[in-house]
Amino acid sequence: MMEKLRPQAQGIQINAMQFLKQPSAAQLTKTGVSLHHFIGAPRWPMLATNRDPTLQEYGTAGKSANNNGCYAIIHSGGQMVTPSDYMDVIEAVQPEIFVPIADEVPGDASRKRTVQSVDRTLQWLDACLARLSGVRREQQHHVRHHQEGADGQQGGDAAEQQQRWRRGDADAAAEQDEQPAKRQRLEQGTDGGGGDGSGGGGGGSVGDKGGVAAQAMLEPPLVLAPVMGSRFPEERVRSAKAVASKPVAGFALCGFGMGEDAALHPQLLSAAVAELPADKPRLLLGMATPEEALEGVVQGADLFDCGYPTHATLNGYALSFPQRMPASNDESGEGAAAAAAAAEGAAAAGAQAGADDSKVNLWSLEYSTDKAPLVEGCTCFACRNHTRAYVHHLLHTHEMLASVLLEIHNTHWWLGFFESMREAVVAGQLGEYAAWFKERRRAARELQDPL
Amino acid sequence: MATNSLPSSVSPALKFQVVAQQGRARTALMTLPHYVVETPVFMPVGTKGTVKGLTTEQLQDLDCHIILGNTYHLGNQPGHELVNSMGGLHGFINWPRGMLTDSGGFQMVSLLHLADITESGVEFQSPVDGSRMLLTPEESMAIQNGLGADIIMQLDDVVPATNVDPQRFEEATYRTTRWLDRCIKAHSRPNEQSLFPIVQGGFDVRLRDISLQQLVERDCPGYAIGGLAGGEGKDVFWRVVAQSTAGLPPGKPRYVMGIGYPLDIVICRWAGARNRTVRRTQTGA
Repeated sequence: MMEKLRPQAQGIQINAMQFLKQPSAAQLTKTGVSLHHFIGAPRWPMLATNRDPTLQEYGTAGKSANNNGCYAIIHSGGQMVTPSDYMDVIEAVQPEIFVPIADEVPGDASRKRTVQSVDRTLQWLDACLARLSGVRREQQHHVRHHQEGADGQQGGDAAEQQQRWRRGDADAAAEQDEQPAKRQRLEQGTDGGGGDGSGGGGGGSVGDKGGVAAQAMLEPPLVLAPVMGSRFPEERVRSAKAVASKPVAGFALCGFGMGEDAALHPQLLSAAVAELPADKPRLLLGMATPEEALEGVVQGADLFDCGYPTHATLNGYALSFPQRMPASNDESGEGAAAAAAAAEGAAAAGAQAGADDSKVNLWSLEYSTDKAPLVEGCTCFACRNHTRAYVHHLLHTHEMLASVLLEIHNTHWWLGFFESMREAVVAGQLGEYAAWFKERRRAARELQDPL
Repeated sequence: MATNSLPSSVSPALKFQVVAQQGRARTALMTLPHYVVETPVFMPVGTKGTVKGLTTEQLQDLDCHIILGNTYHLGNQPGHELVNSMGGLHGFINWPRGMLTDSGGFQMVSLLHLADITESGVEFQSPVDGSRMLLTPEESMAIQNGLGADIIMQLDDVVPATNVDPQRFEEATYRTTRWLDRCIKAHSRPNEQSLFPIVQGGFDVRLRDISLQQLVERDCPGYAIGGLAGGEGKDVFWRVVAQSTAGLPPGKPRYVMGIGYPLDIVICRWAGARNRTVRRTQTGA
């Protein structure tokens, strides 16, 4: 299904915390393969984060963090998590790239608590980097041993380390050309929201299988250092400065979507980004709405997680917000048609149906015989093959397929949104795009009574 | 062996051609308005117009030939008139291949506390508002005609297999025939949809025989074997299936209803049965 998404999705995100239990790191390791294989997605690069945007409560409900670790609420309940627990999971999951454990605080945390979280997260980052370099040293030792003609002989701890970083051999061979290219794309700061999936710059192609194994071994995951600071610009600056010169692949702008006022985002983001090197990617976590994601792009973020499409799905909505400015040179039918139809739909539906031009509420009874696709002009699998009436029926009968079809559509829509933003940057029109987008969304909200 | 010496039949909306036999078992091609189905065939249950969690494209990728829709549930929600206006169940869910609907009777009896069977039909309390409702053979046909499946089932008088009253089985045997006649009369699309009778009679050899004779006399496009998979013992089960298939015309499809455990499927194949349903969600198997 994921392969049908257009623009092409380029990777998936998982939350490391969910793999503390069921399956645990130990259980995953026993399978002998990385999480990619465990979930049947061997060719998708994986980003592991410290938060799940669809599950994260405001703040840190439950017990407080301490110097030893933080409290995470996962599917099996709540538990304390140490940096060591977290790295056990990372070693078992084997993501290409990850965010280390961070001391997240709610959006109304005190300055004192925020200062503590900046310092604590730094300590945990250093512990994580130390563990990774320990692993790297052992791997390098083993590689030399292996290449000196040990012919598959394995022994002791080094071999165990090697096992942890190996993925299935067959797929390692297939991916050997992809990995350097992926890393190159990451290092050039492409966003994670989609793209044309082109091969990127040529990476080193390694010929023999022994070489492939060596390459797989030498690739522990890339680190995105957490930048904390909550709603205090000075703390954001301090945190960013502290990690700016660390030996990491990029940075994770944490602590957003924690109940803070979204109006603070521009200042908080620009304060942090100003201290970070321009040639390394920035992951922005916790943006809750399209406008917030757009603001993130404006401020220089490259990779995003976002629970917005999934929240829309869970509530029976199909996203329909216009993505493309009605520019004079807009050749593409999809954005313009969708914009026109969505506007029409909003006018026709009115407030009673729970509609606005950003999303369609498929629970609404007005769709019970509507043979139109979820959003007119949309080319996703759900819109090409099914009707509003059918999805409406599936929701009302509490059938799983409702979520399947809505998630396909909403993911497609979200990927298209990011494609639109990329195009605006390339065309040097991001400012106009942002102004148009925000104005349109603001106008749509004014259709409804303020809460 | 030339296929024209193997059993076959031609009905207004169904063609059946056996292509190979081994003992009583056979494999055949069943031509329906929407698809040519290879039998023996397992039919996934798409109760409320969806096979749980799967897209119709995935079902085609799995080479599924025919699925079931549930008349009781779809009759409640969204209703057969709406489905009809959306192009029948095929159009509504975008499934291009074969479709079968049952009569709604089984759910009445198995799901509803206050279901009462009388000569008119199955009287029950509406799950929506508690009012008294009646599902008659005529109403079952109206709903199934609206849903538009390739194969539709008669409303039969189903007695739970665990019932111990022989008179009840006797009554149900004859009533099923009477209801079949009412269904045939009410069926408004015989050139597009094939109506299958359902052989009853419990585990009584004599009653099964009577049911077989009477139903076969009506010369329908295919036949179902009902009243099984309700908790009876396996010995009883296979003897009833064997007797039933022996009494059915070889050139027509046979549908054993409601079985699902792998062993049962193999036994039915040996006995020469054609289609079967699997109620995964109910048995949990």
